[in-house]
Amino acid sequence: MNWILLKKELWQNGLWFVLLGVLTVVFLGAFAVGSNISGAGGGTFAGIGAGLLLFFPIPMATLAYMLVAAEFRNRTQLFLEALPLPRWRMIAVKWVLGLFLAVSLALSGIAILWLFSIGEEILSVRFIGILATKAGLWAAFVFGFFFVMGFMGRYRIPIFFVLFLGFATLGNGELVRLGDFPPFALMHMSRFGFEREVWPVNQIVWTAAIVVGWVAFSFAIGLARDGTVAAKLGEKMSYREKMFIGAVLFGGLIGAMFAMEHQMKPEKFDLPGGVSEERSGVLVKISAIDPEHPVDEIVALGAGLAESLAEKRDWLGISQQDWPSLYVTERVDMENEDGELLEPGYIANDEENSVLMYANFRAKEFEVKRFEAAVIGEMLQVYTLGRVAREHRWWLVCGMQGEWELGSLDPAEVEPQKGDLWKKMAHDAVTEAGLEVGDVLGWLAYQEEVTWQSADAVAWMGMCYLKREIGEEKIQQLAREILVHRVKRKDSRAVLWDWFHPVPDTFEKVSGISFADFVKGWREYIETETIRFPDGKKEVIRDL
Amino acid sequence: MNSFRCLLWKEWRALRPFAILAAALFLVGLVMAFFTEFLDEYPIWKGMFSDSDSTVIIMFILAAIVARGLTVREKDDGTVNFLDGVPVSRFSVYCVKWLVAVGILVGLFTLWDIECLFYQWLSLTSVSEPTPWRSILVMIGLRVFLISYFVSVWCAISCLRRWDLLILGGIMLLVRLMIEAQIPFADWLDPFSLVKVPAEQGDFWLIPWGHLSVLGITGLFLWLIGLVYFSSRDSFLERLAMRTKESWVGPVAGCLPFILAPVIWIVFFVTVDPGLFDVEEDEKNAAGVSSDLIEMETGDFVFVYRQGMAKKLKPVIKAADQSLAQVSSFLEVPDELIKGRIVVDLSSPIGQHNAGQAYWKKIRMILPEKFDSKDHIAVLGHEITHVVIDQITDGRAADAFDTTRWFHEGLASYVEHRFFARAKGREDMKRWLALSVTWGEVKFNEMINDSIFSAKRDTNAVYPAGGEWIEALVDVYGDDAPAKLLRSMGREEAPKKIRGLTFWRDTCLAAGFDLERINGRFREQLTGLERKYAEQCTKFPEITGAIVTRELRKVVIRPDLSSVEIPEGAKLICRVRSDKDAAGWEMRQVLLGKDKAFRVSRMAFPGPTIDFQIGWVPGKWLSRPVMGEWNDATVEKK
Repeated sequence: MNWILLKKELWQNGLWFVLLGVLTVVFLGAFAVGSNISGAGGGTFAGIGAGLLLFFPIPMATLAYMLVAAEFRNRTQLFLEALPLPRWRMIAVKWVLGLFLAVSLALSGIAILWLFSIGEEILSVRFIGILATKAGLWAAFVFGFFFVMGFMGRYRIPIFFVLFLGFATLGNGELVRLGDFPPFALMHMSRFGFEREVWPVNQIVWTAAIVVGWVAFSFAIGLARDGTVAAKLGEKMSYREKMFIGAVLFGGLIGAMFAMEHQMKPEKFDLPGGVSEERSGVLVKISAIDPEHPVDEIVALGAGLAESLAEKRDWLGISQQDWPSLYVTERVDMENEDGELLEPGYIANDEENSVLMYANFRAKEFEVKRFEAAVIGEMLQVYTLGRVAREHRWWLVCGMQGEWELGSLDPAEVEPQKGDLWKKMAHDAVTEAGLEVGDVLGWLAYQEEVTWQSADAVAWMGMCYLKREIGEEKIQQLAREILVHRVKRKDSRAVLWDWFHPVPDTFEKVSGISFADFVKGWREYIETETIRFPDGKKEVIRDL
Repeated sequence: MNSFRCLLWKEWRALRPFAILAAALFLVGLVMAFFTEFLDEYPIWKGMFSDSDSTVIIMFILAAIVARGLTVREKDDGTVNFLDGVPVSRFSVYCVKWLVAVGILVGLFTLWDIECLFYQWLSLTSVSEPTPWRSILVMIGLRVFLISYFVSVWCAISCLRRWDLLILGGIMLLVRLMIEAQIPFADWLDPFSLVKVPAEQGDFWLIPWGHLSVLGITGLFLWLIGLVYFSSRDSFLERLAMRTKESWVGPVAGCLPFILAPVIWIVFFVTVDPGLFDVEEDEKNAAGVSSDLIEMETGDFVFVYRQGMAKKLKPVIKAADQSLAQVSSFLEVPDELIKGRIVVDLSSPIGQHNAGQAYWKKIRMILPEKFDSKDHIAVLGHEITHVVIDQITDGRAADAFDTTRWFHEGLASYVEHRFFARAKGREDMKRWLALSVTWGEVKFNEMINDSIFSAKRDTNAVYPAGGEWIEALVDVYGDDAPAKLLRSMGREEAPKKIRGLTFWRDTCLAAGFDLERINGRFREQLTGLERKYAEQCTKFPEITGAIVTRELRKVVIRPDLSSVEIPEGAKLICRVRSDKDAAGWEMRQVLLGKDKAFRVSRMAFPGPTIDFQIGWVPGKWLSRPVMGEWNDATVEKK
């Protein structure tokens, strides 16, 4: 009776088996040849691994479809069920036939390459044995999977879809390396054709176990309730069902993607061997390029920075746990393109609540205040995930940085040489480029037009004007309202917040001055507070 | 006209579930964008243009979903007979089906494009580049073309029913093989390479007319196949299949795999003996598989070479075990880590301009004429290091190869020059690096993203630059630092998919190292080299400007040499590739001609643009070529 069943399969699908076999072997061969065509493939057997992994599932899906799914789809299983045979025997014959073909095809690929490789590679029996075992087991696994899917009838496409996207998500996630697990480990592309001596015993055993699992599962589903479950599953899906399944799949996938996100995190950022100082909850860690450098100086620098940063943090009204840590790496070779002795670094992990700065802090010209101002700008960027640097509010940060660098918002209190230089830069910039509301809200273009140093000077003068007009307390309130909006996650809630809190409106609400009037006053303040340098003289003549 | 409208309505109703799903997909995309991006920091270059390769693949899959059953289902379900009762031709039905399928997909992609344009509008700042309208139109045009092409492909190929995937996979594989075999114009058969976004937003996007013409003709041909199939009342294939099934051919054919497969098995098992699981026995069996190949075993290696190489190879074989011991000792490799012997294959071809290549536990190398045994041992030492890196990290360094290539090559170069090579070789590497640094070609943040580095710089520069970085590492953290770093890279609890700077920060931190300190020392060393060789380096300025023209069968590159004097013994060379994604074997390298121009075959570079990099072979001071940055150029007609 088995022979009758076998004959029926051959009668029904024999021609297709041959076509499938020939195409599969030809394409596997093409994979092998193609991978080695430029001489960079590493050997004949490297390519067939890729072929078995990436291409082989297609013919196996076709084979399983012919043996199982088509039977239910066309309802021809009813004829089989009419035969005086136990149902398990029909499934067993299909299993054995399919498995035999699958394994034979995979092995024939190996065998043909073996013939081609004679005289090209060392073909030890052990090597061929390892290759054949891996290829055969993989073929059994793939066929078994599609065989089981054949019984899933109308649900098999959604299942393929879920598995495909699931594996893709898993493969892209941090949690696992799919290639480490059987059966994928058997087919690891960079090892498949090169492992000559070590039998991957664990992976072989596990893959064989999975294949046994497929067998058991297919019998269970094929025999359940006299095969009516499989027959029911084999019916076509209605549109409503398709839509429902589609929606469930999408929902599930998105949920899975969010659940998978960042499950394994990289090491927390640090500067091993650096000197750390903590004051009022602010951590500053400094790493000197030369470990022999006197530690006391670095400790003093770190402590000073930490104290000052804590003070600024409190002024801005930011909580202790939200304030980023500061890491400083010494760069003795630095003067960057702008002649600066400092530069922000890149930590490359958005979840790190830390700022990395490069600084040539041993240089004679290094100014701690200037460094601090730059650091606070960077910290605000970390605190807001870069939103503070949007140009419509960056002018305010630049102005505050001016205060932190020069030490005051009253030009009369600033060290004359420096204050006068800033005033001259601001005056020159405003004289040449003007200063309108559009310039302030499009601060990046303004910086480009007048240079960022001059734009900083203009911003500082703006703050000085504001202090005169509304007092320091209101400035503090303004900074807190406009700059200090915590953004913890990269999503568009921050964008919506920006839309509903336009800077000119917030400004007017806090200061009581319209933004247009403020900019006008700011421009006039710069124009009257300073006049040009007389030619050849290095001093500023003040008219106040 | 009325019946045509009815057909449109009917097709729309048939494809409406897909359209609803597509709309859902679009909405999901919107929600995802909202929850994962700052929408006002998402300019069009980051959205619509950033991942054009994936977009084409998505287009292909969606076309399959829409068009795979478009004509076949009507025939299988017999509904085509109802359509025959309607006073419209099958041609009209086919056209309507095709148009609705294309329309729905174009509609979906248009929605995405509108979404991207909205984000572009939100993202405009005072310093934004103007919206690249021309590039947007070219992109939309190419997408509409590709959607039409893919729908035609599926309409044509779906008549093969369950065989369609297999046949299509085979055709795609053949096209790939043709491209790899460098058959001229073969890549014009590949629809997946049609959309090549310019490198920079402001760059002019040349329409690939040649590529479009070839795909257009094949698309039209496929469209006609689909039409012929749909119009035919009785499929030839179906008739043939039925007839063969009903004749004796079916079962006989079915028996063939049963006859063939045992033959394969018998051949396989005839050669197998009880030594299958016994290494010693196995190696005895392996010996003499081919009379042309000679095998020589040492404690740790199996050398495979051809007759005539024996004399040249003798010192290498003699030194092999010692070399592995030296590398293992430096990288602190436990004895049990490398199981079995490493195969060194000297009988097979390897990639262009390479002396050796390593794959897991196999090394392929050649014995170039100009090398002596000391050089061969150095190459072997280099490749052994690659093998050892892969074993210590359990392949993790290879998995993240884009991030680790510079380290792989750097460590191998360091080991090669520290333990095996002559001092002159080391000096050459330093000079090479000095010239590259003088040209601004060495940047750590680029090296750790090899696809970016190789797109912009000389991909080989990672050898000296990586070696120098390892030197900095050893200098800062001592001789055992590379071993510690490798162990940290291969630790089981490491996050699996981190790349770029995050990977290196994580790896260094887990090893207890400060990446910034190492980089600081690295930069110091580079500056030192630049200063040391400043006098020689000024003689070889970087050349980036050139006029590229098409002349007869050649593409001619005329470099701007107005302020360049070629020192005696030095040569100028030029490397050419079709675009930044080209593989190493697709590139051509040519010397400067007497008329001060470089010439490459037009057959190899038929596209409207090419990439070139010009470099120096300084001659006596340094015999290796040092290449400058890659430049892209439009090929003008002369």
